[in-house]
Amino acid sequence: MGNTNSLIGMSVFLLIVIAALLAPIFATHDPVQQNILFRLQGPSAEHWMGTDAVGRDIYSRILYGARISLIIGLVSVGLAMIVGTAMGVLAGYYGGKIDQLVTQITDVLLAFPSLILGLMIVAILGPTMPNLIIAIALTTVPQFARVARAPTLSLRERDFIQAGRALGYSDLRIMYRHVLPNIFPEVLVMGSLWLATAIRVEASLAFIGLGVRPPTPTWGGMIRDGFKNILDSPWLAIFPSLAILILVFALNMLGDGLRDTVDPRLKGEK
Amino acid sequence: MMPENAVQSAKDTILKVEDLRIEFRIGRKWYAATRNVDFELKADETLALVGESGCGKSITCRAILGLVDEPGSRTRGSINFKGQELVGLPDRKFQHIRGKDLAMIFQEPMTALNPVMRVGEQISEAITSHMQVSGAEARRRTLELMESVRIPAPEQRYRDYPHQFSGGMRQRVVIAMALACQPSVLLADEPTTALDVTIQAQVLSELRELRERNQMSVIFITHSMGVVAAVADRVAVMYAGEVVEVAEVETVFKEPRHPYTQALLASIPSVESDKEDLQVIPGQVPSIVDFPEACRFAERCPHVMPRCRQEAPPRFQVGSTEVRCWLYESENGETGQ
Repeated sequence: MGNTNSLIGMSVFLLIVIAALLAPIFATHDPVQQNILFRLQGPSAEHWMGTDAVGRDIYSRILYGARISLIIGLVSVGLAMIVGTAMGVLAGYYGGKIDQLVTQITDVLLAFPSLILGLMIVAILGPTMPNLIIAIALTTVPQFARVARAPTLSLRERDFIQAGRALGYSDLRIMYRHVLPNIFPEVLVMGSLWLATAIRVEASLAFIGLGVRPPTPTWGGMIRDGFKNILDSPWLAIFPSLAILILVFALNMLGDGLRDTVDPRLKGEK
Repeated sequence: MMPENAVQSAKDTILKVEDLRIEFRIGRKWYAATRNVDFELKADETLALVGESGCGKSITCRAILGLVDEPGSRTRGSINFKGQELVGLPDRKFQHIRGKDLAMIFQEPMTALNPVMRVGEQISEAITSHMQVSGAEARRRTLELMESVRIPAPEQRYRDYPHQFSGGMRQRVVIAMALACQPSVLLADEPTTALDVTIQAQVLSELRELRERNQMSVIFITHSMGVVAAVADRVAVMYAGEVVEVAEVETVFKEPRHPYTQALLASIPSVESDKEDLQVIPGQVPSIVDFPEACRFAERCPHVMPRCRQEAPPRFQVGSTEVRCWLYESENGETGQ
């Protein structure tokens, strides 16, 4: 079961990635080109998903918006994965003071819901793409630190790590060559699950006006714009919402499936 | 690399452990898990470290490698390796000795290998972490090592993962890793205990062969007197964290001096004897928190004297045997604290 799910999730995710990469080819219109004469049109042969309040093609905007969502999601989760995993492995391997410090930082960061923490950081730094990436990465770092720390703690006591020390390997070598490959599956599963969250947080921030600045199309921003016309032209909000839903759902399916593969003990658990 | 090695005579001491104390803090007090651990390892010999579980054999070995570094532990005394003091040596310097000149093999071959790394790469890493060699050279030496520890078809096995190996084969991989840099001392912590009996005999004889070919000295930890008889030149018997007797292997079996050694030998079941009962040593090993200051074996000793409960015995020399027991006080002078 897990395998089918992750396969479906993976395919949908890859389709969206390809669509985003090839947005200039697939798009039927310029995503920022306004055309006031064709504003608020419903889906048609010319505009597959209709047009918004200033006459921009929604289908093309969703394609370009996918780029923003994916870049921010992937870069921030990638950063968080590197920093968080490093923190967790160091904490688990050395223990003592380093562990205490990392655990405390993690606990403090985890005390804030990711959206609130992201909101605070973006509000302070300003809504640019690098700042959004930093904000979302910061909210995700503790998750990876936690996921990496626990298995490192138990690996540390394993004979082959002790054997590595007895062979005179440096701590860095042991962590990089022997601890990391053993915890990597767990970290990767976490990565796909938190990628979904990161994309949701980015959309939420854009929805409340803290996303990448217009006219760059973002899914969250499009829902926000479409909200004004939700009663007479619902497709303005519905199509970008569907896009978010499909992407997040695909990533969750991928992550759940991967988790079942990596950890058969969790199979069937909700 | 080491010309002085070549001229070392068989008598030379390569590793000398003196009054090794490994202490642990429990609550506010320090307790000595081992004390009075004295033995010498000479070039080209196998010294067996014998004793029951928990007597301090393994931790002594870990201390020699500088791996006793848990919070709330400390190591006192002296471990002299080729003229270099190892107690208190900073970890950075220790890393150049561990695995290179002093190597260790562990008891459990099933868990001593990284499950997600190819066996060949693991052996080759043991080489490249200490020596500047090209990838091709490391691979060549790895295959050589695999052959020397009798892993069949090394070319094919190189790319296998540990789970594709049997226990005996894994232990051979572990041995190959330990021998990667041709160490002069090998610490073997019950390397055959986890293997079944026929494989045990094979691995033991191969280890003996490798020791001779590589001119290593070996400290062999075991609790089996049978293994001692098979591999050792000399024996150090440990009880409750102390070395109570050091002697040549024949002498230990013929004339065991310390009451604990005598009791240990008496408790080996024999096929020939008609006795149904297993001989046991009465009483229990004291826990680390109530090790007596005086003789630690006094409570279980059949020859106990009042003095045994007052003062810890020093080392007495009886013939070629060194023994820590008051029974031998009159026979000869003491050789040291």
